[in-house]
Amino acid sequence: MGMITDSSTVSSGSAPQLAHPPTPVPRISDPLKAQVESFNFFYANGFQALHGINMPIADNQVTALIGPSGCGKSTLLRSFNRMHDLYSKNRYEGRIILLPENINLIGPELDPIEIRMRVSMVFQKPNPFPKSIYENVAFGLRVRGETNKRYIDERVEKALRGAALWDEVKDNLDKSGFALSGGQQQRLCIARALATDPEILLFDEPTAALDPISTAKIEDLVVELKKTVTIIIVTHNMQQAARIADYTAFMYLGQLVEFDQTNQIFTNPSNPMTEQYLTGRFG
Amino acid sequence: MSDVSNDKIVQLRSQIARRKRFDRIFSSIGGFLVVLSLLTLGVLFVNLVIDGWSALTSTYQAKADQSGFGRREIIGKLIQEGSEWKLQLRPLVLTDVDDATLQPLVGKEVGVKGRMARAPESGFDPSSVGPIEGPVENYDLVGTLTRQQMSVIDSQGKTVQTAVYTLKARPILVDVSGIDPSKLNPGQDVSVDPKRALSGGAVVASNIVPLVTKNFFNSFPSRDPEQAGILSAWVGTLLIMLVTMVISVPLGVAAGIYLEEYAPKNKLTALIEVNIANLAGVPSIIWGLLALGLFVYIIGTGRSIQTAGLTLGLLVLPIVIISTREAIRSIPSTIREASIGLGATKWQTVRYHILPYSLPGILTGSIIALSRAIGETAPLVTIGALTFIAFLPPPPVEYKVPEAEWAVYQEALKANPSAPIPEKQWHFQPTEWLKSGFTVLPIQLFQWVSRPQKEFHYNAAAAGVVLLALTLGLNGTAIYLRYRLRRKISW
Repeated sequence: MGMITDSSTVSSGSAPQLAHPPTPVPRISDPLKAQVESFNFFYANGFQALHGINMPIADNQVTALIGPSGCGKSTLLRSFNRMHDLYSKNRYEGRIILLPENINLIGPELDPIEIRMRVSMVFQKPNPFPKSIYENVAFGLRVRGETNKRYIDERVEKALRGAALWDEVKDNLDKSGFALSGGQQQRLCIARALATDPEILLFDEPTAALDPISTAKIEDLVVELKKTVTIIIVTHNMQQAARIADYTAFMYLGQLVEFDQTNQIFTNPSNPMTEQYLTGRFG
Repeated sequence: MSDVSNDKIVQLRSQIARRKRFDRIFSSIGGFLVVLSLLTLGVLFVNLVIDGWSALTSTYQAKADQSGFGRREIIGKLIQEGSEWKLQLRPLVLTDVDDATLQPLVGKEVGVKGRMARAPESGFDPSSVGPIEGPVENYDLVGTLTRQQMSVIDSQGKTVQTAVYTLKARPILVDVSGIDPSKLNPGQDVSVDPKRALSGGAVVASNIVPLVTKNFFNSFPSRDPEQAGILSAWVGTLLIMLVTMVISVPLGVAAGIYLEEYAPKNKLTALIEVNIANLAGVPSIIWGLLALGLFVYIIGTGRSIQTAGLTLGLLVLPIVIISTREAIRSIPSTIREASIGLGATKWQTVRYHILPYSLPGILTGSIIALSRAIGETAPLVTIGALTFIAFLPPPPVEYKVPEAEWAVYQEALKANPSAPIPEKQWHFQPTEWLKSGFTVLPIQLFQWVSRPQKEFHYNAAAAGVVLLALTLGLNGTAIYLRYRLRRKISW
């Protein structure tokens, strides 16, 4: 899918070079939730972080974005809920279509707040608010103007159950979110994102700051969650991608090098660069 | 271990010792300077407190209606015996008396003829003191004498021993027939204004005014250093701080939030940022000039509390803005992203996260700004603060005779001494105090320091202690609030 300009450099083990040819849109048989089309992204300083990305996002599946640092995977992920709008002068080009309505997520005519109400995000470092566990989860409902106490109670419990945290915190809902361990904090952040019933859940390296046991819990959770929500996850950990993702995209230098079903990518990558990355020869 | 490695270790250690020398030198100089500055501060503070202590703690008695004492007024405690009212005088100091003639009379009952000098502190000027002969009514006062040996400094500066006689007089009879009975309270310290004297020291009272104990904090400035206080100064300071706070905190916090959260990051906002930082360093007298030109002359707010508050509010506005921005910047961007990522609007993010989490910093900055404003003198002198002020700003609600009716009454009084006193009414004047003239603690302090009398300098030291205590109190509050609020917030 991607193109390698000089295969000899690749085989010698140093960083391979990529040109910017238009990548064809990968075809998948699963029903789609979103579709990235000819997507370019420019930071405020003019740096182009993403070049012509074409990628499908399967409905109720886990899509993993992998690649070395600086390859643009987080940039792509944060485009899905317009996080880049927080910092002015960042620029999008192309389209990210949200299905089934067929609306362009990055269209300037669309209010980013509407997008964020449908596409939630969990960040790399657990970032609960310095408020109680209850208030952390209820915040998404409160900003929507929800005031019905009983309804909020129900949704908070459901979200905490959904994030496999309910049994651990049900007696301490008034405790500060910071009183929890790192792994619990991250699950709290997942519950917070779940409370508003998003259609897509974005994970930006959610286990990078966690120990192996907490990581395993989060991974189980992701697999569980895909029954109800479409998941896109950025990860540095290739084993993690292999364990939990249905589809995997390998990105490099702002380009999508290869996109396929996860077992296909890990067992039989079509692009030699993908194979080199997966076998640890660069990145 | 071989010799070679031993050499190496010796070399290493000497090298480390050489490098560590600078740590030693620096820490000893630094420690010395810290001790020195603490010592200086301590000496200054102790000195100030010692100088100001007498002024801070001394009290005196004054008439409750704030009129001065007349020449003939008599001070004492009212007592009731049956239907008669009497006045128990304070022990009276006899002045200009002959030690030789009085010494035999000590401890005995004596009769005194003479004249009451100006009350309450001054003495009794006797024309004669002697044993009682004939009817008691022939004497102005009857009582027992005590004698005390005291050393005083005479006009040549020499210390001489002298005898001081005090007379503990029997209560004198007061004819209260012309006095409003509600003014007669047994046991109360009062000043009696005698209409005329009767024989035996009895007087006919024309007026009786209760006395109150005054101190440094509830006295107006005065020509008499003993009675001078800081009432108008501390009230002025507090009211101006109130206006300053109301002006600078909401404006400064709003400006800080706007600049940090809403304003686009471009050249214009960068320019504004630089300017705000510069404004924080503008000499305060320049703000005074600005306020004089803008508020006093153009807008016409007068030389009043509102002008002073506005001036100091503008003066500390940059400090509030800067501390607000610093506090907001200390919130990790992940919190902002988490809130925005959940679909919150900018205002919801500010309202539920940015503002609560930056509150400790904002409060601290605002209080520090106020504690700077509290000590400002130059801009207030520029806009025309008063230096001698013996009144308080009008309270928001007052029960008094309307001024116009009072003037009419004063006119009517000239023609008819028994003109009816106009009735008091409730006055609602919630903003009148803003238009009042003012003085503040540092100005009062400066005024006292510039007086030649040493006693005023003690008053100045006392005012300095109060000002210092206010500033330390404010800063202490800031530290406490920051500690309390920060404890709940961590990232």
